[in-house]
Amino acid sequence: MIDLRNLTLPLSNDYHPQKQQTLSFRLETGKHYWLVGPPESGKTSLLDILALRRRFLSGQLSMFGFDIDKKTASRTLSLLRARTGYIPDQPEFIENWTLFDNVALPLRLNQYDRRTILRDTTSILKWLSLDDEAQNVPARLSHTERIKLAVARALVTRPALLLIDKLAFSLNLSLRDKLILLLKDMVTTGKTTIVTATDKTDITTLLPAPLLTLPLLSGTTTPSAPSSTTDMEPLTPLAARR
Amino acid sequence: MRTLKTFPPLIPRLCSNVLPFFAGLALLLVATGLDVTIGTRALVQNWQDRLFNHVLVTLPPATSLEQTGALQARAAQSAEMLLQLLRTDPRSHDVKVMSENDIRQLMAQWGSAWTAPFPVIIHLTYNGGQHLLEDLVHQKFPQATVIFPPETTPPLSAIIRALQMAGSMVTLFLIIMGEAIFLLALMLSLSHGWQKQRATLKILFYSGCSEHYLWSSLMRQVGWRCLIGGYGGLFLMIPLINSMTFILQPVLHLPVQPDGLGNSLWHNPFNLFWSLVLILWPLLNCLAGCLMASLLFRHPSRHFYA
Repeated sequence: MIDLRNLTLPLSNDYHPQKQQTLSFRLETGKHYWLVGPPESGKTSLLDILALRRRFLSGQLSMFGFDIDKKTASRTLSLLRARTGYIPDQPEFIENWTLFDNVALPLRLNQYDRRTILRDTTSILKWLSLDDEAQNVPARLSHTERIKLAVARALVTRPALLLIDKLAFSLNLSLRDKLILLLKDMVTTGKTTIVTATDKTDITTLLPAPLLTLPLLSGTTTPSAPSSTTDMEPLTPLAARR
Repeated sequence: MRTLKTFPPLIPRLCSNVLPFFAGLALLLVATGLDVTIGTRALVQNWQDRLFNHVLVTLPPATSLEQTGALQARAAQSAEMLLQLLRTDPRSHDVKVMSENDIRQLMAQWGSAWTAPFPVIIHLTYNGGQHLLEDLVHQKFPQATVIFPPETTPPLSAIIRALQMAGSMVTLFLIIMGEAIFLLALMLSLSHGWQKQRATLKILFYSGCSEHYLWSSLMRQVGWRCLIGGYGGLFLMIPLINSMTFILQPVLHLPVQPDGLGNSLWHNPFNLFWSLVLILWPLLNCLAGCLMASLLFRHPSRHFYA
């Protein structure tokens, strides 16, 4: 469970002269949430804070039973980061490593055995049609392929928290469909909390999930009811390989 | 896709591979510095021995021209007996009869050209008291004269003191320079490694790599490089110093090693204490390196989580 209380988030001055907004909400384990809002409304900042890549100015954040503040031990932060998968809009990779090694990195950091690392990395690269490029370096990939690579790296450990920024759903239709299938499977499994940011509200109709709408100029937000329901294939490649 | 996969190391190289070279260079400078002091002391001691312990024993020459042949034979016999006598004394070293040429040169320094027959002069280095040698010689050869070197003169003592002081200063300078080079190289190496691998470290942190893992990996990287460089330097140092000593032997009038360069190359010029100091030095450098790396890489995640 993730709990935010009076968390201050930066905001464009187009929305508010004080350039900040205060959020309070709770994300339940195993649920999917749409984070909806126009550009510069603080979606990516919120994802960065949840991914523990950016400190928040004020407020309280609790993740999986750990209070996050300046005194939180770096060991705890590392542990939480290792259990988080993040697909940012501008993913960064270790450029002198191959795609395979980049995807295998979270598994290695989570100390999976060698056999599992080889099997899961190979499987997810194949699922995302990156297996032919597995021994190339990321510099040779297009932006869409880099997003796919980020998807592979974020999902390979079956994280407890999955954060998806907007580009993953808007660049490539086939990738979007695969992700929707996967998210539905993850929601069914109920072990991963998923937050997907988007500035297109029509995407939210693809998967029924509560909405978190930004910017929030005052007060507290609670995730709204699911937008709609869509019939999806229950089986995903990830579910199959596990 | 390959199934047998060797993964790259998780933590990239954060300190340069040039570091062992500088660790070795530092040890070479430190060892050379120590050797300068030890060598200066040995050299001064050797010179003092040569200067203050050399003794001349003379037997008077034949005076009557008629009896020259017989007297010369007797003088030669006496000289031989005296030589044997001196050689039996364990405190005597380098006992030898001076040639006529040497005697002529010696006499020429004392005044005008020597016209009388030359005396027999035996040169030796004597490490015992003056009266012991005089008693030994006069017991069997009362006519012999024993000539000891003059007492130490103040200017000579001052030169020796200055020489020893210069040796100590050179030692201090070389030790400080060696350590300064090592620490500077370490700092530059770590700083360069940080700049070069910053992007990789950022990804590692965001993926959940712990600071402790990074720290222990960095300590291993720095530690091994310091140790390999230090002990490599130590390995090179002994033949280097012995070669230098061998080359300087004729210039500084050092005692000649009978084994020659080939055999004395691996002879340890340091005593047990200094040998231990030099063996421990790379370990100390290793500790200093790890300490500096710890200080420079203290909480690196702060750079990425702000």
